[in-house]
Amino acid sequence: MDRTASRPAARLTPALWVLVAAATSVVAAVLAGALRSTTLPALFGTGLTRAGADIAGMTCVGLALVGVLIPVGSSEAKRVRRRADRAIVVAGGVWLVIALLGIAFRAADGYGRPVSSLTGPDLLVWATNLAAGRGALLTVACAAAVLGCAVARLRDPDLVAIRVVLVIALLGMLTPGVTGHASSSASHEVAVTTVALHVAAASLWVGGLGAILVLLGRRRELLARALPRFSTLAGACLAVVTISGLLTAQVRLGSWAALFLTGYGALVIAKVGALVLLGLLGLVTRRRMAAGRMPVLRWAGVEVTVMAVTLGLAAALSQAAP
Amino acid sequence: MTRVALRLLAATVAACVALLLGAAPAFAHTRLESSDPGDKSSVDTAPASVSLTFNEAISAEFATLSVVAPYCTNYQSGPVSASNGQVSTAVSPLGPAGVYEIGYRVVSDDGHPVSGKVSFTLTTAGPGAAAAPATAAPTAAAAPAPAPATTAVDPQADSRSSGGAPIWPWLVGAVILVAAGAAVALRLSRRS
Repeated sequence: MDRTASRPAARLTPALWVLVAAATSVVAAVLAGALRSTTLPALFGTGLTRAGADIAGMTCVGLALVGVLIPVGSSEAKRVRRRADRAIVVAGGVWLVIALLGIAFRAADGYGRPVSSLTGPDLLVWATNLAAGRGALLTVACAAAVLGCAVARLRDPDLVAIRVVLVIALLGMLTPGVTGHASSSASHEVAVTTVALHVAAASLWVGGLGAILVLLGRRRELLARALPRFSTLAGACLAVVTISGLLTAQVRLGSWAALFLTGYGALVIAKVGALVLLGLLGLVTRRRMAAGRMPVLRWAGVEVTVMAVTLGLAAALSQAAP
Repeated sequence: MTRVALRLLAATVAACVALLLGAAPAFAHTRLESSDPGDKSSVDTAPASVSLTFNEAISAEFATLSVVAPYCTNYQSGPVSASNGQVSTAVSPLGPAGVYEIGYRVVSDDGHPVSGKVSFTLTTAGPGAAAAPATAAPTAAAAPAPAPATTAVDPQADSRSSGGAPIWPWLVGAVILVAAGAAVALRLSRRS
């Protein structure tokens, strides 16, 4: 039977994406001047856990999305769903661990002390006093819920619909963004909503594409059914990401000067460039699909690598001030 | 029944998160709005306390202030108090005339630390030329990096840190637990 590649090279590619995203996040944060208010070890801790949580969360979203997109019934689809469930257990566990570590590192950064000196009450004070802390607790809760649902699905797929896992994973992705920089005082509700939409659309798009590549890469029939549906979704996601991203950047930057003169502005420009690149790649992919040429996956692989860079930039952006 | 229960649970979780998201004030990095004494101002009499006002509410737990003088002596004394956006602390009687720097490090609601300094000039020498020297302030004033600022107020930070066992062993334990649990779940679900 046509099994998804277990060649070492195919296994390496997701690892490569993770590495690219994590490295980009730290480098971009340093370049954008995030070291002004924190030390380098603290920046490593908070930056890597933020990027890592985003990556793990997106992976869960993408895997759940594949489960939703592929048709019900065929035995091959069942096998793929099972693979996805097992992968969600791993990704959900990683997400939970990174989210917990993220609380520790961010609290240490807040107190200005090393992580090893924090006590339980310290963490509790940080997690309850600050909006960011409460958001981090929610992320932990969502990651734990995703893990629990995936384990339940391994016992019996009918226990929890894969749609539910998708929704909880999306919620977990939203919490850092909406308790982060989401607003200036005036247009607070609008800013929070646009960030939520931005993160949700980006997660579906990036996570979905990566998961399709890994899970359905070698399965022609399932790919032929799922890819057109995903392509439509991806088009909508690209539009939502672009509009919400522009709105948020405009609110936070406030002027063209800030765009070109600050580290934050530089990160925004880099993300816009990556977005244009991704849009072009998506366009090429659709044309190839419309022309009936299914092997679009090499382009998709490049696309996900660009997305990994963008994800790193986004993580750095979350730590920078304009 | 289990499916219905799980659906209800999921819906409840979603509703709670939606409520929390709606209520959460998610502000940008906090910003210093004003200070007393004002930045670059001149004062004749040594103030008994200094305060800084930020554009969002600051928690006292994460706020550190230092008031450092011409000869690197730290005059900040007592705990830092915060109410809404105003952070203040008492100052022991200031010493010689000159430029004093108020260093601050606070944490915004979004979790990111913000540090900086405000300076004011004391035109006439204050009453306390022999104020308690700082336990550790080898570099002058509060440089933007938080390390000097926190060493300058170390005694206060230590007295504020809740005496208790460090938490990192528990974190390591939690990581191992999650990893083991996931591995067990995967192994049990493996069909030959």
